[in-house]
Amino acid sequence: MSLTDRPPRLGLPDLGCGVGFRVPHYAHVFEASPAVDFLEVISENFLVEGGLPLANLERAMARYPLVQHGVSLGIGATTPLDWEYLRRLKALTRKTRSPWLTDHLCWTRADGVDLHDLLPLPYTEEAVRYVAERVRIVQDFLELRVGLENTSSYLTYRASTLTEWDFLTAIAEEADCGLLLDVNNVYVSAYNHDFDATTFIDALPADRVLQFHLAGHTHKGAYILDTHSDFVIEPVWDLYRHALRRTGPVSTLVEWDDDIPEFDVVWGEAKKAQAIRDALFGGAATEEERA
Amino acid sequence: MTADPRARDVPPTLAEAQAFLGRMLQRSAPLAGATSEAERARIAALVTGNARLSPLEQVEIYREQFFLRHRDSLVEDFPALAYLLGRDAFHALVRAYLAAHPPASYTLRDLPLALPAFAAQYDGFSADLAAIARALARFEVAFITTFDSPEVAPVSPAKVAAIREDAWPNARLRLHPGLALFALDHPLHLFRSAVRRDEEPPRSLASGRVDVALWRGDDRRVHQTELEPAEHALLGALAEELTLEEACLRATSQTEGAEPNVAAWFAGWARRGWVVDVLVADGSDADGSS
Repeated sequence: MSLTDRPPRLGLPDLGCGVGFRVPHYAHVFEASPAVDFLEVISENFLVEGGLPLANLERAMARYPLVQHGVSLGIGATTPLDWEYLRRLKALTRKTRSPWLTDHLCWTRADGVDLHDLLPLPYTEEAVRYVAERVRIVQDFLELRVGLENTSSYLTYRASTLTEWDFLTAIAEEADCGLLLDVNNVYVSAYNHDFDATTFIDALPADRVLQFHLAGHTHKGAYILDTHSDFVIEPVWDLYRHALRRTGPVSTLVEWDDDIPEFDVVWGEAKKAQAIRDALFGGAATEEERA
Repeated sequence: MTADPRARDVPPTLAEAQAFLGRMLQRSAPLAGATSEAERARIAALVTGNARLSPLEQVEIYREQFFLRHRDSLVEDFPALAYLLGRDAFHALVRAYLAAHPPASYTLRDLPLALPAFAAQYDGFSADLAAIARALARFEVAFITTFDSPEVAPVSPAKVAAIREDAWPNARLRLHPGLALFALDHPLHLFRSAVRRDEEPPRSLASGRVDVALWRGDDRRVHQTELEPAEHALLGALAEELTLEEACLRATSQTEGAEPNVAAWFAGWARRGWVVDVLVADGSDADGSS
């Protein structure tokens, strides 16, 4: 556990175990109203003026707590912050009443081109200062706690002088932001870059973890690709247990974005996460945390 | 606002590295064969590699994903075009399109919008498919623009009822901005529907003009409806803000004297929300307000 006097999750609520709100599941979610604890929405899918996307969002909001997760903030990009994007994002957070906003510690854009990928940064002190300031600016503008997610990555830089976990921690401390700990991404990057996944998790400030992500991946032999196209594998569940022991109960979200199965299959993974939480903390304790 | 006064100066080495890698990711061919010696040296100086992958191979993972991600998005937006062309020809089109129109927006929703104009100039189509491919690009992108069109309420029945009989000939109808009209030389709408249903229609399409409207329904989904030629002509004229009388005359002239069935058509348009306002000739609306 953290030795700081900060409250767990920076004082933000534990929403339980949820799943990503994805198009193939809309009809089932609306008709069956499964008792999933919360839904995570991809912000960019709803930064529109109206039409079906917002109608679906409003139907989901009427039944479930929503949290917003983004892929286009590009907090580590060296291009200026996109204020039009941020204005739309802020308006959406007001609408969804998302208790926090998450996006990735990465860069997505260069020379006016949006690469639509989550590219890693060199882990340097200079990058810590640069990114932390941008996080502070965004957090101030949104008037909402931002959670940075560790990405899966497939390359590392010769310029890096820090480990990824020290880099992530330094930015979170300097920016005073939260963390979205993607346990699968830790596993993927640990394989791709030959580090120990538990070392990564143990080094993070546990009380800054606002949310977990869990997902499946695709093993390509020489590297693992973060595809969100399969079940969470057992070693990732083990890492999740390990992380939970440090953080206490934290909102947990199962992502499945490719070869998407029936809703109940994805929800089954969320229920498995819930069972792990219950085994560690007890159902009553979890309920107390949720209250 | 384009920058925050508190923002630190951008670290130049970071900016340079991102710009360089961004260019590498956009290469249309694998980096092993599409980089100069100097570029390979730059990659090796920038990226570590590991025991399993060279620096070049690590960057190649991202390059491949750049193509696959945008290809998948465009296949979703242009399913019939992708089917018509087949895998290799569609991939070639995507590569050429991404090179000419690199994604500039944070949202992939904007990615397809320039494809019809690009396809109109693209010389990589086979001669037998070029015309159909270009028409399909125009037709399929309309599903996106119609889907994303603004929310505009249909004209109220009370407002329509209040219009005097003698005011109709000089009235102008304002149509829903999401209504898209097509005069197709091939039944592309049926072809696209079949592809969407995984029915694998033949790639050669029968010729024959068919008029189609795309529109967004109350369910907020995009629907396609075949139109009679005169109805299509009339809607086209009304979209140009001709008066109803002028539009009928044009439609009649364009359709070899076919008599416009305005009352029945108008009822259908109103039911589908295609008419959002009716303006009478003196510039005031049906309620008499300016």
